[in-house]
Amino acid sequence: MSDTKQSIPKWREDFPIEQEFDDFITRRDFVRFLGLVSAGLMVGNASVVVSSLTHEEGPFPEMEVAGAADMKPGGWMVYKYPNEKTAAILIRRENGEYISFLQKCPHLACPVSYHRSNDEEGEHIGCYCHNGRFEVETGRGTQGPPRELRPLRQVVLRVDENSVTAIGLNEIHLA
Amino acid sequence: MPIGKPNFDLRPGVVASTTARLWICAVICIVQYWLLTASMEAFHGGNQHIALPMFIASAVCFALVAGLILTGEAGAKKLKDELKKP
Repeated sequence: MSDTKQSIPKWREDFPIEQEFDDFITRRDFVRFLGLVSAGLMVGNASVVVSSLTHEEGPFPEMEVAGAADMKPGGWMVYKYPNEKTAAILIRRENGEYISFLQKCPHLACPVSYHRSNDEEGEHIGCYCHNGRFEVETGRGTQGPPRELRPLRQVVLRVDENSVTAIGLNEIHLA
Repeated sequence: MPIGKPNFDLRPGVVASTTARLWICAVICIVQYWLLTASMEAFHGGNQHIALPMFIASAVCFALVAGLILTGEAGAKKLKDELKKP
């Protein structure tokens, strides 16, 4: 061990890196690497294009919302539509009208909830994560980050005398 | 033992131009990253129409980066060829 150490010249201890490795990561190498990163990001965008071309939505199932007919005006509930993984909210407004949206906030996908007060604030759909608010009539954002984003996605309802049935989702339209 | 020629570019301004290329490529990559995240966000939000323009913009960005890399490589190759000459 000591022989090996003695055989290493002093200058090698001060400059332990070979000249070939000294310029191993040059600016040019890093630029080449950025080229690879750029290509990867472009491929990522291409995969989104492929997904959007092959994506099919619907047909949506018809599903009766359990307990909706018993809701009192001003109440709201959460149910699953169009599948078991997607939450939606059903609101019964003071005038008796039913309206429903998917529960996912368009900002960062937090769950939204219905709020109603008797003061001037009235009713709105709110998102706790970033204090976002939406109009109950249209689902458009009125406060916080959702103002700049698309509205909540509306669930199309068929309201009969004794039942409320979800029959589909509205087309997305940009805010 | 004769001293060998340097195996890297020593022309004046090379460091500055390479650094400039590096920064421009880095900024373009940041833009591409934003394009990718924005198009994914739009896709998950149900907007299927924005993906293609985003991809075209990303491809243009990649073309710019590739052009900058090839310009630098071409300059370095030219120098190498000159150094090989006796």
